[in-house]
Amino acid sequence: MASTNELEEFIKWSYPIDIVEVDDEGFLNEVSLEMECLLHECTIISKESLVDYLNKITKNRRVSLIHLFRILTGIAKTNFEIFFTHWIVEKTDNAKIIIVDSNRGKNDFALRLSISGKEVTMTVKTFADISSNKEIRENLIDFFNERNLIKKLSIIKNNSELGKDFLKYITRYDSRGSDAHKRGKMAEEKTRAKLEDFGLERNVDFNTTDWDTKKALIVRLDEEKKKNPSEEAQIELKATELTNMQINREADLVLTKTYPSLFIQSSFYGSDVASIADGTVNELDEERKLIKIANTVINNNKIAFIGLIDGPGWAYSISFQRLNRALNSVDSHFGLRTITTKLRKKIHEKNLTCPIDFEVGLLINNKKTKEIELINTVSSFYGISTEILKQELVKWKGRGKFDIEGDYIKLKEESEDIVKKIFVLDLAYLHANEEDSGKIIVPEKKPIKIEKLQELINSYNLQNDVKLDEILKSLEEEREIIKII
Amino acid sequence: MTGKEDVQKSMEEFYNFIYPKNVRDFESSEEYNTLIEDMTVALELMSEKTNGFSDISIEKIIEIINSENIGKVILLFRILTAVSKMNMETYFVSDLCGSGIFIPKIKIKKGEPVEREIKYGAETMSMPKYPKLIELAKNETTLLIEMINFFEKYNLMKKLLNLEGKNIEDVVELSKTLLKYSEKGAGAEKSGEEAEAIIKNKLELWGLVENIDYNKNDEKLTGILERKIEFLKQSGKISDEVKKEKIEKINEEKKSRQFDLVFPASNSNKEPKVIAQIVFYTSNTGSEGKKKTNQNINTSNYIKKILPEHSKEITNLLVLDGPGWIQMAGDFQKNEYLSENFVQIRTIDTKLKRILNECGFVYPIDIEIAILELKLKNKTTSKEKVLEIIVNKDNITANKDEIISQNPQFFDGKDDEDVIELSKDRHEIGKKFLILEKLQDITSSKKSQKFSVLIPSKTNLEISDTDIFINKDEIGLQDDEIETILKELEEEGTIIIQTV
Repeated sequence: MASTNELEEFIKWSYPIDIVEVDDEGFLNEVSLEMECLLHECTIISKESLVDYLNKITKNRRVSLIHLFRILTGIAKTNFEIFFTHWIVEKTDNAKIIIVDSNRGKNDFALRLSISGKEVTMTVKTFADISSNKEIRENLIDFFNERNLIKKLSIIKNNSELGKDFLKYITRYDSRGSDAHKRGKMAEEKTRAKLEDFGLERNVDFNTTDWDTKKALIVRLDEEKKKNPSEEAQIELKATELTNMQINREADLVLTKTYPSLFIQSSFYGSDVASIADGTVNELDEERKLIKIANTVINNNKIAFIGLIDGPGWAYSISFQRLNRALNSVDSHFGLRTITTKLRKKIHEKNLTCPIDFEVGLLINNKKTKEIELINTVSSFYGISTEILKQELVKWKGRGKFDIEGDYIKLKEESEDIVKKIFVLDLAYLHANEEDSGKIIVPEKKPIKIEKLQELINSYNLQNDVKLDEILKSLEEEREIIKII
Repeated sequence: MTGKEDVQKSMEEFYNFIYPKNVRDFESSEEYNTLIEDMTVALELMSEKTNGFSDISIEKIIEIINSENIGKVILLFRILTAVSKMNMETYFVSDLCGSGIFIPKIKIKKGEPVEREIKYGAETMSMPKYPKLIELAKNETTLLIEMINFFEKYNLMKKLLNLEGKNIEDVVELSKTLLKYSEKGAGAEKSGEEAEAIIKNKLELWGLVENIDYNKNDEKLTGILERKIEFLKQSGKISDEVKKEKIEKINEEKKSRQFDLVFPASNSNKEPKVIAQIVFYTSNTGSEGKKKTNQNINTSNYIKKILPEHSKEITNLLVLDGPGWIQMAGDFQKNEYLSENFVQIRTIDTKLKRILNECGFVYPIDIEIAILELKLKNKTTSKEKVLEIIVNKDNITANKDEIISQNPQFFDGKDDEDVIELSKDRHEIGKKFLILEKLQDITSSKKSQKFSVLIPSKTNLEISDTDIFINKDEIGLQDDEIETILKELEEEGTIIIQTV
């Protein structure tokens, strides 16, 4: 059971809006134009005129026209493909669904619609293609007219303005049918973009596409074998156990690619999706199980399993029990608003750093300093051991993350703005005292006084460089902090 | 391990007998008609009060809305702005929390957090559902204004102004599509319930009694397993200690899967033998289909964990069906478990019945088929003969005593020579099932003359009309009667007739 504080914190910092953009102007234009052409060409709206019109236009235009018809009659693309297939099978004599050998992908078989001995896929494109056949065209119009197509088109024919408006509204609904999975992916992507802001790189520091959890764990176990050759046999045994497990999971984000230490699984829900959310929790449980097995042979710096669990759905509408289960299924969690704070803290705990940590150190040292001083500053600011920092600094220097001037390391000019922002946020998150009368809230902390924050900045002698008001405003806009009004 | 050919066979059966329609037709539901009526009333009201949608402003809308019309007007606003009830419960509440009007709290009971709640003014309430939000807006202008502002984020005013000078009837017709999108989603999960109702109707036709032969409400897997363990204890198959140990293991499980179908029901106090969950997909559910079916596999593993030696005594099935599966052929074959453990709505009367028979169940329909079989051959329907004919069937595993104890209404107080009667109103259904049973027994050997029949039998082969009519003496019905019944079965979707 998650604690009351944790749950309150979760709701307080949940991302308040959906992250899927639904307006697709290009698609709306395509169907709007098609509607204009249709209404212009067909003087009378009837089954015959529509069947005839479909015959006159090109295959690509037929695709657009089918989209127009399904939008006007309220049938999603997938549903159209499913239900029109079943319709054809039922209404025509020589049509049936058949199983064929698959020549693509991992599956042995694929399904096809067989019409008069011709095998076709069941997609809008194919249906547009086979609409060169009159019987299919007639069926297509009958199918849509069962959902009042002709009546709707007749209304629009007499009132094109109303038609355009409604087409716009309905298209919005139509494009929204994106699945929950997409939201999880988008949340993941937002996290990746943030990690890039911190100076990490795609495909080097973290994966860009889902990674088979078992394979990722075995990469880490191989590293453990190198470190502890005496335990090789035992580690090998666990690797075999993992490989033989019936569970198959894919990790959304793994840090790092060469030394997997932090596994992130993403789940963002815009609204309630009860049974789906339940499935997510089971998947989290399964992934945790795999990680636990690997961790039994990892002595130091065990792998952490972290949930990117966020969205107004989780905060407000998914059942409390499910939310609780999800939060309990991971070692810890963060949201889109707490990547810089909570996730970064986890990264540090796993003995990993980001270039931005050193850049903050450089900012504190007048943007330019020697290696040893930089390491000491970063170590005291973030509480990371100097041993780790030494190794990490070599890595980041080698990858050109800072300007070098002889023995000196310099902060790159283009990084300054973001570094200042993160410096202020880290000051508040890691170093400021909590006070009841404070106005600034950062994750996991009670309010902080703005004056105290300014004092801290002054203590680093950065008051001229770091404009607190501006930075707080920007952090608030980016939802990184909450300002009490 | 299932081979490629077996998968193909399963796929053929699955896709031949797939349920091609939605089990829940929203557009012909009463709910849909009521919503259309409410939307129309709201449109007419708004038109009347705003001088044909020319005088539109937030103030004007606040003035129009009252406790009588608020539900309908907000429905209209939701439809025009593509905001579902669930969206209101999530995003509107999220907005109110963000602006400090609602303060989210965690309810604590015995020191543990148990639920989310909202503090609004002096009131603390559980997370407000849609009706509660409407109720609050009805009484509190502040909240009503916030609600209209919420819709304004989706350009409500502009959308209302665009209706100026438009014919209301036309607007209603076009809005129907919007309404369908807006309200349909909420009922999508009811597909499973509708499928369950269809299946339970079929079971009743076999003479099964709800809450005895099969469950009325969903049953928890933990409860089902406890019942099984109790049975194992009573029959001396496990000791008291083992029972205790297993029950403790079950109690460790915090959550438990619910089963839609359980044979027999917990109410019967008998051993649970067949359990099933229903997965009906109207549309392609993407990765979600996989999740649901994975849950079933996990369930099977869990049963094995609790009852390693007796897990096979519980048959765990999936009622897997729905038009959506034609876009998920990959998911179907990727999962070996699926292809081995599914039944469908259209194969309830054949495949599921056979599975239940093989698990030791004998139902009234089985007795009726046997009586009819004897009658059609002009033989006496004595208790002895009826029982003899049943125990000799391939699919029946119960012995005579078990058949009698499961069907006392036919056999109680009867001697071996006493005649068992078939009630008149059961003749037709009996004939149908007799044919279904015989069709499953026929071995396909001859070429079809006019047609062939597909039935999800053990062999899953096509049976030719020639084969059927050669065996008509076995069936005991006339050609035309057989043809009529075959046609009926085809219309129901239980068999498929392919004309040559």
